[in-house]
Amino acid sequence: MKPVILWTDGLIFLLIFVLCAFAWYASKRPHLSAPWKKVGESRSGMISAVVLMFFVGIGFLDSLHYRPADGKGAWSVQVLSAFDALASKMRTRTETTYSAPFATHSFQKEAVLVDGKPERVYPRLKYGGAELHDPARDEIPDVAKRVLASWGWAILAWIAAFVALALALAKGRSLKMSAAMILKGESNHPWDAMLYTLLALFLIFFPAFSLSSHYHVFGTDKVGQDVFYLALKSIRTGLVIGTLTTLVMLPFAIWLGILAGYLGGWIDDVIQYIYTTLNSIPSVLLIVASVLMMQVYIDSHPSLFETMAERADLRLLFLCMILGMTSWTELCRLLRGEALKLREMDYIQAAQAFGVSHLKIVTRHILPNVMHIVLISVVMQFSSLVLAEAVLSYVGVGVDPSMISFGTMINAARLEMAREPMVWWSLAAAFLFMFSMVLAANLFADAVRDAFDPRLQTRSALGILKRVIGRNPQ
Amino acid sequence: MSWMEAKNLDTWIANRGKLLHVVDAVSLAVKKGETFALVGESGCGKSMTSLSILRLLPDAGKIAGGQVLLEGVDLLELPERKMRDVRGKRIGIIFQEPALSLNPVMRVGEQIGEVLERHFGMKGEARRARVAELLAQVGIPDPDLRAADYPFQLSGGMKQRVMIAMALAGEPDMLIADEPTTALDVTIQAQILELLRSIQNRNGMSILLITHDLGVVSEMADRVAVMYAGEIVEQAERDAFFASPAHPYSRKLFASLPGMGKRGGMLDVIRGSVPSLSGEFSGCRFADRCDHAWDLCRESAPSWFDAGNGSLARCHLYDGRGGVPRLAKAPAERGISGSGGVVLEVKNLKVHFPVRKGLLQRVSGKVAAVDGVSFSLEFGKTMALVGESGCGKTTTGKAILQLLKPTMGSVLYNGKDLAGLEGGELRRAREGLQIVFQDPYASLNPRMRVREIMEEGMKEKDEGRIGALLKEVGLSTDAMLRYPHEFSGGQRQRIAIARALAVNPRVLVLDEPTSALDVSVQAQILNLLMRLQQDHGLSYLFITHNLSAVEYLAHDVAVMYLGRIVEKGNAEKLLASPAHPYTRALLAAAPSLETRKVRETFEGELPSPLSPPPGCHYHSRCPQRMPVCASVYPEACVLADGREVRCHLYGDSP
Repeated sequence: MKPVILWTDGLIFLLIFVLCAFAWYASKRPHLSAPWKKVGESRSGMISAVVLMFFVGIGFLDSLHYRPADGKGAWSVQVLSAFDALASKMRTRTETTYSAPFATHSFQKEAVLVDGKPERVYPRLKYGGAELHDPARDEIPDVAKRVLASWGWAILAWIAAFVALALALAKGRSLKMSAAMILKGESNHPWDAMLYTLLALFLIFFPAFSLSSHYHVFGTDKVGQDVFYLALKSIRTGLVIGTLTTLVMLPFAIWLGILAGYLGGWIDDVIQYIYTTLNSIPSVLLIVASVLMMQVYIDSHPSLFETMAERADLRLLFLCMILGMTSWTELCRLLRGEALKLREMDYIQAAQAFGVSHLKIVTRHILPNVMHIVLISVVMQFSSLVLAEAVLSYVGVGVDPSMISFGTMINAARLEMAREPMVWWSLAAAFLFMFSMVLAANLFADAVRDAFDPRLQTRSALGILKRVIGRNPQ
Repeated sequence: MSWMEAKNLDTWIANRGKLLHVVDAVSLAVKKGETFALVGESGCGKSMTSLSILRLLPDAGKIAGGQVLLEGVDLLELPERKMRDVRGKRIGIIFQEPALSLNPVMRVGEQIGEVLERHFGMKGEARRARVAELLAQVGIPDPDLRAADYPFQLSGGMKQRVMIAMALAGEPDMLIADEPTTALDVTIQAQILELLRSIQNRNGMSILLITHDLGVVSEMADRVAVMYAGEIVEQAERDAFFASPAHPYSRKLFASLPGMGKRGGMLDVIRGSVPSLSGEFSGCRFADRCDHAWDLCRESAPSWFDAGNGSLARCHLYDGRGGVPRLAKAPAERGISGSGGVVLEVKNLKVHFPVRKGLLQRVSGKVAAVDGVSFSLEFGKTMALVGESGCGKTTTGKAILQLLKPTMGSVLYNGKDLAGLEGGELRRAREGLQIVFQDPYASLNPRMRVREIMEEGMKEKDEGRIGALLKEVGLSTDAMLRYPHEFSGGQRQRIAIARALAVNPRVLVLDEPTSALDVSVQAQILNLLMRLQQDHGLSYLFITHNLSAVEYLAHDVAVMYLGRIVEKGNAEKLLASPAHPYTRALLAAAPSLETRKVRETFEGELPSPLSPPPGCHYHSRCPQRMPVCASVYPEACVLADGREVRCHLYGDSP
C-alpha cells in the first residue's frame, strides 16, 4: 500500500492544521474565544455542528488516499481512500444495471434461459439479497432482524459516548450527578441536544451501514454502482468545493479589500475597477471558458498524471480556484467599507502618530478587527458553493465526469426521471444528502453570525430575565 | 398637588447574561408647571427611570414593581393601546442625540405631522399650518420652507428644535427631556435651554429634566433629585441644593468640578467607581467611596432623613445618631509652574479640504478648516484651544502631528519644521509629540492587550517600563495582560495617556480628553494631567469646549472661530475680561452654578466653513457689528496686557 497525497488532500490537511492552530491560539485569548463559546451555547448551532461533524468525518476518511498493491509487485493504478476500504463491499458489489432500493431482482427484464427456453424475466441480483432463499417471504424478516441488531449496537455505542462525555464533564462530581446534569440541560452547553442528535444519527446510519453489505439501500444506478456509496463519496467533493474555494479567494478578498479601504486614492480606484469589471463578466461564462481550457491542457499532457484520480483531482482544484476567482468580489467590497471606517478610528491615528508603518497597521490593527466579517462570510458562503458545484457539474463544466459528486449524480439521474416506471432513487439520495449537509451548514452559519453580531447579544440574557421576574406584571 | 408621581419603581435590565437592578424603589413626584431635575453620573439609572415611566424600556428590560400615577391613573396597568394615547399626547419625550431621533428619509414636516394626525386626526391644510406654527414656536426661521427639509439638511441645534417641536405637537402636559443638550455646543445649549424655559412659561408644562450637568440643573430646575447606583439619594429644592448639598455624594460632585477657583490645586475626586448593579447591597451604596462612612453605613441602608432646608437625604449623617457632616477639606496647594522657552511654534497653519464635484471630480471649492493659525507653546505650559464644534480645533491638533497634511504654514518643534517631512525623517522629528483622543473607547484597539498597545510606540520592549508607566497613571501593573474592554472609560483614558507617555514626548495634544467622561472621572484625569505636567515638564495643547476645565488647567487660551484664532492670551486675564465679542458670548453661554443668568443668547449658528461670511467671520452673529466688519478681516491687535485680539473694536482700524 502506497499513500498518495493529492493536491486537494494536502490543502485539506493544511486547512485542518490551520483551524487547530487557530483554536489553540484563540483558547488563550478571551476576546477571540468568547463568541465561539456563544456558538457552543446555541442549541441549533450545536445540533447542526454534530451533523456537520458526521459529514466532515466521512469527507476526511475519504481524503486519506493510497494505492493498493496490484498483486504483481507494482502499485495499482487505482487510487483508493480509507473510506473506500471501509466501504469496500458497497464499492465492489456492483450489479449490471438499475435496481430499486432493497431490491432482490433487477429493475429490467432480461432474456434468460429457463429450462432451455429463453424467457424475459426479472433476474435475481448478483449481490442484493443474494443469501435469501425465497426473497418474497424472507426479505422483510431478514431486514428487520438486521435493523434490530444494529440498533442494539447503536444504543451501546451511544451509551459509551454518553458515559465518556459524563466522565469528561464530571470534574470531581459523581458520574451520576454529571449525567443528570447533562440530561437536564443544566450545563452552559446543550449537551443533551447534541447527544440526542448523535443518537438519531446512530439509529439511522448503523442499520444503513449494516444493511449496505447485504442490500443496496438506495438501489443501484445505470452501471450497477451502489447509490448509497455514490452519495457518501459525493460528500468529500462538496466539502472540498465549499472550503478550498474560500481558501483560494480569501487572500485576494482580504488584501485587496483592506488595501483599497485603508490606502484609498488611486489604489482604491484601481482595485474597485478590477472587481467591478470582474463582477460584470457573467461568472458561468468565465468558469466554462477556463475549465475547458484546463481540460484541454490535462488531455494534452497525459504523462503528467500517473492515475485517473490525479487528473480528476487537478480539475477539482482548478474548479475551486476559478470559483474562488469569481466570488471574492463581494467580501472584498465588504472589507473595503470596513477598512474605510476603521481607518478613521482613533487608535489607528494614534499608531500613525507613533510612526508605525502601514503594513504593521494593516496586520496588527485592521486585520484582527475585520476577521469576524471574514469568518461570517466564509461560513455563509460554504453552502452556496456546494450548491454551485451541483449546478456546474449538472451543466457539464464542473468536476471531472469520473469524479463522484452531487452534481454528476444529478446529471446522471436527469434522463432517468423520464423513464416509466421512474428511477427516482439516484436523485432522491443526492437530494437527501446535499439537503441535510447544506441545511446543517446554514443553521451553523446562523449560529455563528448571531454570536459575532453584537446587536443580538441581549437575547440570551433576556431568557434569564424572563425566568427571574416573569411572574410580575408588565 | 403632583401631576405625575412614580412610586417605588423597580426596573431590571438583562445585560450580557447578568441582571442589573437599574432602578431600585425610585419614588418621585413632578408638580404641574415645575422643572424637576434628575441628576447623576452615567449608568446610575436616570434614563431607565424615564423610559420606565413611559414604558419604553428596551426588550431586555422589565418593570418588576411600583406604580406610575398620572393624575391618579396607574400607567403600568394600562393596556398598550391606551398607553399609546399617553405617549406624545400627555407626556412628550426628547432624547440626547437629535441626529438619531429623526427618521433620515422623512421630511421633518411629515414627522411632526404624524404626531398631529395620530393624536388630533389633523389632515391637509390644517395640519400643514399647525406644523409651521410649531416650527415657528421653537424658533426655526422660514418654517414653511424648513418643513420640507430632510433631517440631514439641518444642523444639530435645528434638529433638536425639530425634536422639541415634535414633542410639543401632542400638546403634552409634561415633557421628559433626557440629556437634551449634551450633544450640543454650549452656545446652542444656551439657546435650547432658553427655548424650553420660554415654552414652559407660556403653557405651564412640567419638565422632567434628566442630566449629568450641574450647570444645566442650576439654570433650569425648580427641584432636584440626585440618583446614585439605581436609587435616589437626595431630594431638595433648587436653591437649597446649590446652597448646601446634603448627601456626601452630591457634595463630592460639586467638589470635583474644575473651575477658576480651584486653579493650582488638586481637584477633589470620588475614589473608586460606581458599584455594579448586579449585586445585593447590604448598607449604603455610597459607603465604600464616602469620606464620612462609618460602621453603620456598611450595615444598614439609610432611609430618608431630613437634612434641613427642606432637603431629604438617604444618609446616616442626618439620623441624629452620631456622625457630624464634615465639610470637604481644602485641596492641597500645588502651584501651576511653567518655565520659559518655546517648544512648539505654529506659524500660519492652513488645512484646506478640497470639495470635489461632478463626474471628473474636479475641485470646485475648498473648506478652510484651519485658515492661518499661529501660536506658540512654551515648555511645561498648557495652551487651551477653545471654540464651538466645527471651528477647526481638532483639525489643528491633527495637522500639528502631521496626521493630516497641512496645506500651508509651518509647525516648528524645537526649531525644526515638521511640515513637508516624509517617512522616517518625519517619524524621528515628531518623536516628542503625542496625542490623546476624546473617545477612550475608540482610541484603543479592542483586539490588543494593554501591553501590546503600550509597546506600539516603544523602541524596545521593556516590561518594567510599561509597568512603571501604568503605575504612574494610577493603574496596577497586572493591567498589562488585560484587554481594553475590561476597563472603564476613565481607566481607558489613563491607558491612552500612558501609551502616549511611552515615547517620552515633550508635547501632548489633548483632544477633548475628558468630554466623554463623568465629572468625577474627569476630575481624576485632570489631576493626573496636572501631576504629569509638574513631574515631567510636559507641554499640553489642550483642545476642548469645556471652559471650566480650561479655567482650571490652562496657562494660555486661544479662542478659535471658523478656522481662525480670534483672541489669545493669558488664561486668567482672558477669562476674567474677554475682549472679543465671540469670547464674551462663549463665556456667557456656559451655564453657571451660582446664579441664573439673564443673558442675551447667541444669534444663529456657526456658518458653514465652505462659505464663511466676508470680512470678519463673526460679523453675522456679532451684536456689536459695524459696517466695516462686513468687508475687512480685522488685523491682529495687541492689548495692553499682551493679549492678541482680532476685532475692529480695538486698535486703530477705521
